[in-house]
Amino acid sequence: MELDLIFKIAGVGIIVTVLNLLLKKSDRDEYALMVTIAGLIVVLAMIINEIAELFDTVKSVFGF
Amino acid sequence: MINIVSVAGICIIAAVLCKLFGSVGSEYSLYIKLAAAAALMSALILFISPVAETVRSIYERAGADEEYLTILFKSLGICYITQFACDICRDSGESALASQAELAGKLSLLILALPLFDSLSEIVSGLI
Repeated sequence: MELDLIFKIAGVGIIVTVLNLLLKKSDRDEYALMVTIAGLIVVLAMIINEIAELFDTVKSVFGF
Repeated sequence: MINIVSVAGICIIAAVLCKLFGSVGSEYSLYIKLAAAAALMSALILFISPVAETVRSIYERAGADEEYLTILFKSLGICYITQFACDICRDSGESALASQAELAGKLSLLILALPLFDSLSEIVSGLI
């Protein structure tokens, strides 16, 4: 079904976490923060469509 | 038919991935939870349509007012959305936001049901 989205989010999470660790180890804390925020925004943008679709489905099924 | 095996698989995989991000990057576990819940719910809500059709036809056969059934289904939808928001908020540890969502759901249900109170009081006064 919609398993792709979950795996995509997990992949982004793993990549961002590894980058975060690497940047922190090499004393670039500000870049680490930026990478974390960028990852969060990317994932949020991916999810927001799904939530909008959920709300549309509920609206159409229950006749709002 | 709901494919219960794939629903169970998605739930278990999402739970495992949530645990994977448990200590490092805990915000991603919230996102995974949110995505899995939204995807599953929007797939499952579609199965309510045939049920709703059946209930509607039974209701029509009984000769009751169609308007009441619409209110009933609307309130069911509000309940589902409120429950979704509430659970997500509570899972991410924000119980204050969860109770606000609950309050909003209760209030909107009450507002939706107010016309019913009106018609009930009319019926009662008609009986008297």
